[in-house]
Amino acid sequence: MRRYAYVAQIVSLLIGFYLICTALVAGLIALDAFVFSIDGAERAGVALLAVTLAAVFVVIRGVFVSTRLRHRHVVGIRVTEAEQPALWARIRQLAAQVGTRAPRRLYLVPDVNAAVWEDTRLLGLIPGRRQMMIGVPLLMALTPAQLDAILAHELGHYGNRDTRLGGLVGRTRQSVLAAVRAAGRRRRFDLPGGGLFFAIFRWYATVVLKTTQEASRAQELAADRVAAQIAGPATTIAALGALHGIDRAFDFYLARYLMPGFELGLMPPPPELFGSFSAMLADPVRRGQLDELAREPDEETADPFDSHPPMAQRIAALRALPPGPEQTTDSRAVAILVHPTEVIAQVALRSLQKELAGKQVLAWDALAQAVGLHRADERARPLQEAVARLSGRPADLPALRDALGAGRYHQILDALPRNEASRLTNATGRVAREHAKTELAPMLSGWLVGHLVRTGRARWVHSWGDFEGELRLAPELKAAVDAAIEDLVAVRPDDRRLRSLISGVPA
Amino acid sequence: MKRTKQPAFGIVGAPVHAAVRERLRTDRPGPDPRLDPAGDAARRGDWPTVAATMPPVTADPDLHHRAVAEVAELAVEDDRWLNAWLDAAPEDANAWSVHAQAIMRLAWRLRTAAPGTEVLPEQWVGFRRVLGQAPAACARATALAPGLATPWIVLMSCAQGLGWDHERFRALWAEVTARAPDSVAAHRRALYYWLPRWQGSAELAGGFVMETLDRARPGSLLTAVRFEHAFLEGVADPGAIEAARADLAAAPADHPYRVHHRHWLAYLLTRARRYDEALAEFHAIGGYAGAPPWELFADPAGAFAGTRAEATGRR
Repeated sequence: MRRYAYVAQIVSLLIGFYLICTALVAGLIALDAFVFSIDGAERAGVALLAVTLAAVFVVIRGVFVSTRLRHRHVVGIRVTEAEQPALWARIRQLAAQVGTRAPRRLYLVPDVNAAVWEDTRLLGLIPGRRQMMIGVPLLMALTPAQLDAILAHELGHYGNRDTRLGGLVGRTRQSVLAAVRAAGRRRRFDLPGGGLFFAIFRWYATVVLKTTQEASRAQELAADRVAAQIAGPATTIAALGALHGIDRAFDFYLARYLMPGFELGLMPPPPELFGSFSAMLADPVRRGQLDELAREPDEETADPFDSHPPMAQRIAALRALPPGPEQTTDSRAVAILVHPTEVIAQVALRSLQKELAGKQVLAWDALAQAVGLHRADERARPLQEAVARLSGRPADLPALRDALGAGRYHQILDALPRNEASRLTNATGRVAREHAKTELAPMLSGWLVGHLVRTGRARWVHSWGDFEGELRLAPELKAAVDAAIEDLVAVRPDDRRLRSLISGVPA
Repeated sequence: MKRTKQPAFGIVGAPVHAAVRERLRTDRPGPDPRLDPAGDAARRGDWPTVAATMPPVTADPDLHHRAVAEVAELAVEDDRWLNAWLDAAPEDANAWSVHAQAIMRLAWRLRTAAPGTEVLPEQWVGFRRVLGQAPAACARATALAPGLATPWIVLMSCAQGLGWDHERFRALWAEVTARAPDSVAAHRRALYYWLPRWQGSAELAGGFVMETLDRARPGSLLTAVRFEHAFLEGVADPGAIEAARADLAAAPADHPYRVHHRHWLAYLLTRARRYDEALAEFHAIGGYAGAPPWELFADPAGAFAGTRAEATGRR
């Protein structure tokens, strides 16, 4: 009986939501009519009409668009059964094991995510076409059994084993959240009354989310149990534990390996855009970091709207289950794909369309060289500008050598931009100069290394362990550079080694 | 002339009249005829006079350390005279001692005395880079004067700031105590190393203080370690004033840390509301605030003046 009471509660919350929407719009229309009936208030009426239209828009968004995710909104590629028979067969088998329909469409996407959803119609009452998306980074990072666990979890949300309520609860939550988002979105012109709308929706959303929280979390735990039955609890724990690390690793990969090249108009060959994520994951340094991330509990976000129970709770619940059919293998799920390289390249090209426009393709080593040189130049620039200002000459290394030879080291230090510590403490004299030396050391290193690279005496090669690349430089030359810098920034500076180093290298 | 009676102030952030603060000197604890000539010469940039008036390397370790510290502080802003001295007299252990001490002080100026969490990354980089150059200068000084304690005491600051492990520090401490068993300066540095905020813990710091007090001869003025520990760690120390008085009474008239002890007494007596006695100490000190406990406040002059005003007002 309690179950029916709960169903009634959820249904009335959903109906209440539609009622609030209707009341808001009806109230505004009534107000419009009233204002227009007053003589001389046409201008106010027009403004009010605009507010009404905005409100109608928000409501329509909340009611109709909420649970739909259109094909064009999926960034990624659609793969058919003919193209990827093995992956499809796996999904069908999982769906059968879970006891639910297999999806009709399958997308491969560039996110660290896997999801199943339905295009429902008529306020979410009629179930629609079921679709699934799988993130390419997951395929590259998870073993086939771990991928099974994740997919079984997602399909488990639709299995009719534990959670008949799941769909209804999910729909109610999504509708309300979509309305909150639509009302809270910043537009170019903030319409009067928008804040009030937002406040009403948010209040209602809080009520709905609080009421459905427990059911929603129970649903997640039930989906975990389904995953554990199919893939085994240990594999499911490993897959859940790995997600956070994979997410961080993929963000890191994009930010540290792809973005710096993009900023210079450069990109690796298309198959390696995302494809090299596998190579990064296989690097011993990165592998150690990922294991570290999986071991440490991820900081829980205290989001009251989060439908997931804390990861620690999910893992504890899985640990309590009897052992299941664990499969251990070192292969990655990406091996299930037919022509994996091409497929991954397609996903990358589709999702990075904007970023890739007009980019020049370079191999990773050439990219590392270009990015490294750019970074070195950026670091050197403030020092070069100071030397140019002081010497009135183009800023080259001989100009620096001559300025030092003329005893202008203190002037150079004084001409560098002051760092935050120096400014905050109002540093003067020797203290200010030491702060300047802290900045000078990397600037000078960038300048010298950049010059050595340009004259062919050093080069950067790509490294998966160090995103700044590995600088290839003869050990004795590296020692000479380090010693010259160390001497110059010493408390009793000595510029002789630097000056002879500059005189010794070809211009 | 009739004056408004000074209101009582708390010691932190006391709104002290600017003129009062102007006259306070925060660079030293008080005048000392044994140290003044070298300091005056350093201020003029006259290194030959500094070299001639510095205590010899065989002087009392605390006196030598104080003399080195006072001129080194001047070299932190402007080191031209020191560089000239080092160039002209590369075999002078005192010059290298001053150089080492100045490097150490320079490093701390980059870092500031702020809690570790408030120190900017660039400050840490500068701090470690500069402090890391002090051991080489210490090595020059100790090679020239093997019995001299001062450079070994500078190394204790390196241990504190660069995070040397306990074993390495204990070996260093053995070198220090072999040369200066009763040095107040050395014991203060050791206290800092053992503090939880640096390389030790509450237990290790407390243990070090207990051990020091057990071993200390009356009149060694090592009770100062106890006051500083209680102050820094917020430990109650009800017997501090009587211990300080007894130690001071037994101390030789020329002990280099007598004046520091008076600063502590002035502070402790004010806190204990023994204002008449506190004022007597303030009177003996004069207008100098360059000593603990004032140095441990963000605004030493304000702390000194505020405490003194409290003693004056409540008398």
